[in-house]
Formats: sequence, C-alpha cells, structure tokens
Amino acid sequence: MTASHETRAIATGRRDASDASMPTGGRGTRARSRLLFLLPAVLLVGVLSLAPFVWTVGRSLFDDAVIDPQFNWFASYARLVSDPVIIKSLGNTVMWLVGTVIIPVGLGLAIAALTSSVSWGRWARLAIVLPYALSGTAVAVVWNFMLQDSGALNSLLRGLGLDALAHPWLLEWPGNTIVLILANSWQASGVAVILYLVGLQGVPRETVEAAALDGVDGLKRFFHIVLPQLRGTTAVVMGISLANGLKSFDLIWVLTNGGPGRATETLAVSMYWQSFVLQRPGSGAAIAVVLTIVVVAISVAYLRKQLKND
Amino acid sequence: MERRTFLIGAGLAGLGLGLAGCADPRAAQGQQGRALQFFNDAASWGSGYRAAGEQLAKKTGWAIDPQTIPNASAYEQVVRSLLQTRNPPDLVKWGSGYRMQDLARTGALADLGAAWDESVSKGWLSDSLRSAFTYRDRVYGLPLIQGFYVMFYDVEVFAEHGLTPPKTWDEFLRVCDALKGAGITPIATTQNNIWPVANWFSMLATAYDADWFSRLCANSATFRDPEAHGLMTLWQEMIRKGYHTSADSVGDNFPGMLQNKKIGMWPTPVSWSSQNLQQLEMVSGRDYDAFLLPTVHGTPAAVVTEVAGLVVPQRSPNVADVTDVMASWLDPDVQQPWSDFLSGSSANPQVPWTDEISQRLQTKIREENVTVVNRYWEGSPPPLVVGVTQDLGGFMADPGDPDGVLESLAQKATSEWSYWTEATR
Repeated sequence: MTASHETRAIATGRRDASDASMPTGGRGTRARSRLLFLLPAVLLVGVLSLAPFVWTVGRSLFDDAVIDPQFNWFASYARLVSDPVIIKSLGNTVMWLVGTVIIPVGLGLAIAALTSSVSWGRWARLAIVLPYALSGTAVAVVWNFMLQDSGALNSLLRGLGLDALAHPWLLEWPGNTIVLILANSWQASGVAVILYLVGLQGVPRETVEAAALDGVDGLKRFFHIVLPQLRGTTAVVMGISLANGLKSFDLIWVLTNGGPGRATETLAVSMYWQSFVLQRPGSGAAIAVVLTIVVVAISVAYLRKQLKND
Repeated sequence: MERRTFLIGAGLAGLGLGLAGCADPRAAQGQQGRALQFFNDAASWGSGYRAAGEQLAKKTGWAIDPQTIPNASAYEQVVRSLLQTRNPPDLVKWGSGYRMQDLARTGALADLGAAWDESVSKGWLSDSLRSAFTYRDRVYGLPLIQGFYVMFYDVEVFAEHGLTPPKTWDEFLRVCDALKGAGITPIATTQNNIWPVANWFSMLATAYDADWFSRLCANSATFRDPEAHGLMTLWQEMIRKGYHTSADSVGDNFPGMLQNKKIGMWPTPVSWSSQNLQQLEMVSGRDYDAFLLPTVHGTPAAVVTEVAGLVVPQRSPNVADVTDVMASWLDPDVQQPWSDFLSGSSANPQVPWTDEISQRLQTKIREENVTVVNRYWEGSPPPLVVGVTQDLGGFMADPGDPDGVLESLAQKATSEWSYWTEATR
C-alpha cells in the first residue's frame, strides 16, 4: 500500500482487500503501535478539550455562587430561555451565522472569479486579501474610527451633503449588528478569495473550452460549468465561515463591548459577560454548553452532508 | 542531529520552559532591591507609582514595580483570576465600597486593619473613609486616590460667549443652551466601555436628589420611585436637546476635545483629570477651570467622590511583609511625590494638592460641608452596577423609553440585592 493510499484509507475509514494479505502475526503489534501513536493526540484532546467540556456541563448544573455553589439541576438553562438579553444574543448569533456565511462566500467567489484572468487582478486581490493578515482587535480599532457618530464615515457623508444618510452606526439595533458583520466580512473575505483562486486553478481548461465551443457563454458558463466544479472549495470556505461566525468575539468586544445595552451581543460575548464580568459562573457555563451544542450540531450536520455528497 | 535526539532535546527544552513559567519570578529577587509587584489599570500613572515606590523603599526596603492592564474590564477579570491562584501579585489597585467587599467576601484579601489604625493614629488618614474599605468589621484596603467629580470647562470658550460658572441649575441649563447655540457640544459623556456611564449617572442623580441617590445605593430606595422617573425624564430631555456627546464617543479623546473647543464641559474628577489636561499643556486657571455641578432643586450642594484603594491578596507569597509595608503607604514623604504626580488626589489630609483648582474645590467641599456621596460604580453590588450601567448605556444611545429602562433596572435591583444579601449573610 502506498503512503497516499494509506492516508486515504485512514481518512475515509475504508480498507482495501489488499490489506488482508498482511501476515496475521504482525497485526497485534501493528494495532498496539497505532494506539501508541494515537495516545498523545487522544490525551491532548481529552485533557484540554473534553475534560473542560465535561466540567463546564457539570458547572452549568450548579447555581451562580462563586463560593460554595449549590446543585441546581437545569435552573441556569431555564433562566437563559427567559432572559430577553440571551434571546436577543441568540438572534444576533443567527444573524452573524447567516451573514458570515453568505458574504465571505459570495464576495470571495465574485472577487476571485472577476480578478483571476485580468492583468491588474493581482493588485485588486492584494488589497482584498491584506485585511486577513490583520488582527481582529486592530480591525475593530480602525472600524471604530470609521463608524463612530463623529467618525470618518459620517464626516464623509456630511461632507458630501448627504446628511440624511449620516447615522449613529454603532448605536441602533439591528443596524449595529449588521455593520459589525460587514466589518468582519471585510476582513474574512480575503481567505475566501485565496481559496477560490486555488479552486479556480483546479478547474480543467478543457471543460471551460468545451462549453465555449458549444456556445455556452458568460454567466451561464460560470454557473453551469465552473461553479459545480468548485463545490469542494465552497465546502471549505463555508466551513471556515461557519466557525468564524459562531465564535465571533474580538471585533464585537473591542467595537461595542456588546452594547449599547447589550444589544450587539452574540452567544460568545454573552458567555464572557456572564462568566467574567457579572461573575455568574453557572449561567456562563450554561451559555457555553448551548453554544457548544449549536456549533457541534451545525458542524456535524454540515460535514455529514458534505461527506455524503463526496 | 538525529531526529530522536532532536525530539528529546526539544521536549526537554519545552518542559524546562514550562516549569520556569510556573515558578514565582519574585523568588529570584534578593533581599536587596525588593519591589512589590503592583497590578493596576492606569498605564500613564507608572512613573508616579515608581516615584512613590522610591520613597517607600527608603522607609521599608520595598519599592513598587507597577504592572498595568489598561483595559478596565480585562483588568478586573485578570485580577479576579489571579486571586484564585497560588501566585497572585503583592498589591492590587481596586475600587472601594462594594467592589472591595465583593473580593473580601471570597477570603481573597489580607486584613489591613493594623496599617489602617497606625495611619489614622499618625494623622495620615481620616477614619471617616473606614466604611469604604470595611467588610464585616475588618479593613481590607487603604486609599490610593480620592477625587471629586466636578465639571471641567474651557476658560476661553466660556469667556468668548460671556458665560460664567453656573451657581444654579437654571444657570447651568443656560450655559448648555449657549454652548449648543455656538456649535459646541456642552457635556462630554459616553457609554463606551460601560463604566463611564456610572460617572455621569452618579453626578446627575446627586444633583437631582443626593438623598434619594444615597438611599438607592443603600437599597432603601428603588428605581420605581418618583425621583427615578424625574431623573430619567430630565436626562432624556438633556440628551434630546443635544447637550451630550454621542453615546459612542471615546472617553480618552475628551481632554483633546476640550482643548479643541469641540466640547464645553467635561464631568470628571479633580484632581487626577487635571493631569490629562496639563499633559496637553493646558494651564490650570488660564486654559481650564472647574465648578461643582449645581443641584437641580436648589438643595444644599452635593458632590460625588471616587475612592480607589490598594488591596493585598491573601495568597501573595509576601503577604506578611506587604501588610507591614502598607503602614507606611500614607506617610507624607511617600504621598507627596505620588500626589504631585497626579496634581493632588492623596487621601492624606497633611499632603496638599498641588493643582490650584483642585485645591480650591477640595477646600470648598471640606469647609462648606458639601454633602459627599459615593460614586455608583462602588456604591452597589458589582453585578447590579454592571447591569444598571449597561441598561443606562442603552438609554444614552436611545433615550426613547425611560420608564421601560427603569422597570428593567428595578427588576435587576430586586434580584441582585437579594442575591448579594444571601451571598454575604
């Protein structure tokens, strides 16, 4: 079995008939050595990821007392569903999820497709990819300068005589959540562009040329010939965007602190508020568990669908 | 190098670094040149701390090694987390009142009663501040700074528009109208970073009804009282008239905005805020001045005070030494360089405030028996304060529904006070 064959067999969990020719005596040793190689990874994931999760689930069943917490069954969860701030936070999380999937995927694809075959494309791409190299906090500071009521955007609008469009961008819900998502997309689209460019290079020229010969042109050719061949890339971009949307924190924290009046919180920010600012470890743990369930459920559903298609 | 040798070497190096990281850096310090590891949230105050530390070292052998986390909420979480470890800092800057009680109730703070009593007996400290640092009859902190919230203003702007410091609320409103009419935003406030909301709320509530505000902080008045409604209606009107800067303004820009005449007044404490203006080369008296905010209904003058303290983590490896050192913290020789750095703000009555305006206001407050009220940030259980300031921050952004906000505040107050009473029983 070649190395790539072996990797594929591990990745897919499939085993070829040729494996059966392996001498039976070596199988036990081989299994043990495989387990040995797995052990460090299992230990690391177990200690650093699963154990804290189990501890967090346990903590969510106790009350909010910092000292000597009492077992409280599901009271923390009951409080979450009756707390309008958390409900709004859940709504914002859904908005982030939708926004951070649609915008980077759409923009990334459009920019990559439009600039892949023009001579000045590399400069356009550089400008779009560059923000991806910045930290979330730096991006938030720059956007704060832009979006404040007395910031650059409103100054520009007022300078152009468009006073009616000037707006306290960060102060009114749901507009503030939408501009936060747009600011995030400005940064996140860069990676989607890179991935789509790689994907576009992998599209065989023959398929595009054959379509051209058959008279399929322009948008039709793109949507019917190119796009279906980018399915793998789209899967990766959407996967990354889903994860980014659900864990969005730094930009929100620096730009608005989740405010005003907790209006721009997502579940990740609410978890931080409850746990570390309000010192409510029980409620914080309950939000963490809910967020984990949402992330795992969406990721598993999405990956299952993708793997099934493959 | 063989792969195995490389891996073993890299593994051992990683282990060594990990162990070194877990070690207490203070263990390597000798007896000479010892310094208290001092956590604080004011980055620009580092040289002041070090200047006080030099004097402290002459008295006790311990200097001050300031380490700053400049973001207020990040600072709070780092300190709370560190207090749970076996290796917390030696000294921490922390709020007085309920903020300090919130730490003391967990058993994380060392008793500073001996240092307090010694300072009082030497006349370095007024015992009237004791309640700000007391939890269950024990003292857990010493004052680092004391300030009074006043309205700073740009002297030139006031002169240009023929304005004088207002003595009544009506005069104050006239000043606001005149500034607004001249295209200058009258009052600099923001909800950015949450805690600044508590400053203006405390000032306006104290001006509206200092007695009600004090009772609110003692949980004997509520947000459903008519006073609360009146206060919020007044605030709503002020926001709607455009007296305030946008709710998303950056507080750090206010000194510069005052200098550039974009704002007319800046509600902030004497004396340490005068340092921000002096750093911009504004001269006390010539470029800026300050006045006490008049009361709304003409009741006797009242002012909001902020007292921040020094607390000592019980688990600090040097806890015994640090509690001894703290007995010298309020020594005038130590306080003078510290106070000079902040243009005042020392809680030692023997140490004069150097900024002329701050000194004038301090004297006025003391001699005219002005009612002194604690700031809301330290004046109620911390989770309630955070919840209330968040809601009020929302109100500053959208002042459409004051009664809805008050109902939300009242509900928070009911649950948080009952939680606090239960937790501290």
